[in-house]
Amino acid sequence: MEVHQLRVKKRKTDFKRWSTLLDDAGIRTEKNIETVLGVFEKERCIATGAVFGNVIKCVAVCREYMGGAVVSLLMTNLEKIVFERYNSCYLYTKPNTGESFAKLGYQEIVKLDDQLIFMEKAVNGFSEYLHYISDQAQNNSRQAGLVINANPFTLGHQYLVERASRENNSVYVFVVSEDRSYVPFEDRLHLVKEGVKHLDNVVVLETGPYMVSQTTFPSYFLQEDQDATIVQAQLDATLFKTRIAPVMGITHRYVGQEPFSETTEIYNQQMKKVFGNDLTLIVLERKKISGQAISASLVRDLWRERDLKSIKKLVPEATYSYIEEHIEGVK
Amino acid sequence: MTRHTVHQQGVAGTLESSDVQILIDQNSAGGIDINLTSSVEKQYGQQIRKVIMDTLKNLGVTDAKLQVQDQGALDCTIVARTIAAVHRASDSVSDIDWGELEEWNV
Amino acid sequence: MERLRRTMMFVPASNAAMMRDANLYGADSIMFDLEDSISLREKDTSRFLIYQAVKTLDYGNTETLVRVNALNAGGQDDIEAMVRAGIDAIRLPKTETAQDILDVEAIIAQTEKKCGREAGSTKIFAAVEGPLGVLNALDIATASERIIGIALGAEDYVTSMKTRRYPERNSEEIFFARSMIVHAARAAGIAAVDTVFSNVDDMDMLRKETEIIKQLGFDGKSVINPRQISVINSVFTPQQKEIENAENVMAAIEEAEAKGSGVIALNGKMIDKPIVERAQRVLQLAEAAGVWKEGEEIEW
Repeated sequence: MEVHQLRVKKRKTDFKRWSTLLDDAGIRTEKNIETVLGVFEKERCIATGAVFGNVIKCVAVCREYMGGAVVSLLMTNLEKIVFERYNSCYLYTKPNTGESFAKLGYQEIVKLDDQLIFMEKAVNGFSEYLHYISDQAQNNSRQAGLVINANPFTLGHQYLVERASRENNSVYVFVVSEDRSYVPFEDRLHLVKEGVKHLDNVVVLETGPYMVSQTTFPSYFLQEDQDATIVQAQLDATLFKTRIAPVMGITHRYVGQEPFSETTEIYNQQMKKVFGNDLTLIVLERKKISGQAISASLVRDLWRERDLKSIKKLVPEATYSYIEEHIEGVK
Repeated sequence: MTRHTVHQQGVAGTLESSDVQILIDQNSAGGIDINLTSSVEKQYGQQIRKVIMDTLKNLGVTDAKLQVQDQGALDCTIVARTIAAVHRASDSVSDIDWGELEEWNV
Repeated sequence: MERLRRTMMFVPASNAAMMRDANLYGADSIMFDLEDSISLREKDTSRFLIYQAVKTLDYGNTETLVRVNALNAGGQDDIEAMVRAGIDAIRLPKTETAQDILDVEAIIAQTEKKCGREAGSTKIFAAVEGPLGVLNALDIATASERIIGIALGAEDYVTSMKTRRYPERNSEEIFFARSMIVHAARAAGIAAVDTVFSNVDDMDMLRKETEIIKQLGFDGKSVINPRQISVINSVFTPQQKEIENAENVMAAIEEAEAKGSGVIALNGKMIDKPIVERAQRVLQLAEAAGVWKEGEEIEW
């Protein structure tokens, strides 16, 4: 048995090998992949797996070879790629295979019905994350949680946090750690902290890798007619409800209404569904300036146009200074 | 004795049969913390932990957290993978002190 | 008498299971590989793995070798580790000149001293894998007291020669290289080992190739899959007739010794040293193959 890279985006033969294996396993091909590996027995490709960042996805093994050896060899090689750049490794898989991955050192973070489970292999992983956030738990009744990307932090975000701060004993603002935004994470986090420091009952935290994003989510798992966004939102909501909220004592989740984003709408709907009566979802209307809803994407558009005058009306001081300093763009 | 300090995550070994995969990183709580998954946990779990602990001690590692996946490895394999992971974690791969290793490695 | 090296099995040093079972396959020599079969990323971990294994595990009477990396690519650490671990011999890849041997020997000697291992106990096995090495074969074979054998690595060799392997055409493309190596080995009094046969499913071709190299005088062949061992061994197993002749030679020697005669004769012909050596070799091979045992008396 040998392992080779499959150049699925460049070579037709490799793409064929890949898609055939995935097809047989009832999995679809994915665009969000960086490296794809194939396990070969003589000339035949009998298993495949892909890596995207620190996530292993699209794992499929030929029926006749479903024993430990092939998966072990495949996973060893996929993990090598992930551990080259990251400390922790993530995996999405069907619940019925969860057991075999547990044997390889993966721990379940959240499960979504019978659809899929999200797993992690790490030395300092999810339990350390829970320690980190629970260390900052204020142990109050009526506590709110918010998850924001803050790319960058605007008056709209600030309004959301201020409302939560007024209506709750404590507020936990989770800033999305994933660094695929225009403004780098460290800066986003800093601007959030600056923007809420006038509120004494607000705690700013990182999401770590535990808020599922569109880039890491494996839409290939789903049936053709199922909407990836819906399932991804369910997964996210379930993780928040079952693992994060209890540890912090969060009773209310605040989100902004998003009339122009179908994705955010879907997210909010799914959250409501998943939360049920256990966790209250509060959807606030967006703050408006001159009749226009403030959004980070609007700010970014103006940023690209270098329209500082308009930006000034939409962001708090610290964010404005940051943008002014980086008016030519963020390196 | 050269004291190895874990600066970053070190990974050594594979998930294949007869091998052991070791991930080692810093332990903010101090001391040695081993999280072990093994197909032979019942019979050999204690032995595996002992081998790892002894090797860490010999390498002068006092604080570390380990995630270990054992697939039925022999003691010598466990020792080898532990030594390798520690060297990677303490950034000593290009600077191996063989004499020092030999002192305790009979 | 020189030990048998009919089969020299390659074992990648990154494979914990193969390392553990290496001695069970019945090869005459085991060659742990730290070089071409190990990816750059795994050089350090594999080195520790094989170091610990050779230190701890008992490989019985099987000869252990390790193919190290080039000196400027980790070879130095490889040698330091394996001399300390107690390996029988260091196999040097892509040997081109006698100096290559001397450079490695210096590090071996230094390490033996540092760790208190008997000076000279670590042997060297030279692998020739290119045209320059082939042309320098004799120099290489005689470069050091530690050299116990010389092998051909044909894959790299044919690439350098701008051709490829043609096993189906009796491997004419490596005939010269094979000849040079076996000549150098015989002139230097060391072992000659042939290259690997990479098609592990074609046992017929493997047999043919082994018969050719046996004919040329090679001691054995490199193996990349345990399944090849029995095929190669069977080619080296002497025929009944050969064994009988060898027995007769040994009997003639015993007789001559008993009589106190200085000249040994068999069937009216004188038996000199090369014939004796060949007879001993035949019996050694026969015994290893399990088809002959010394001193078996006939029950009346």
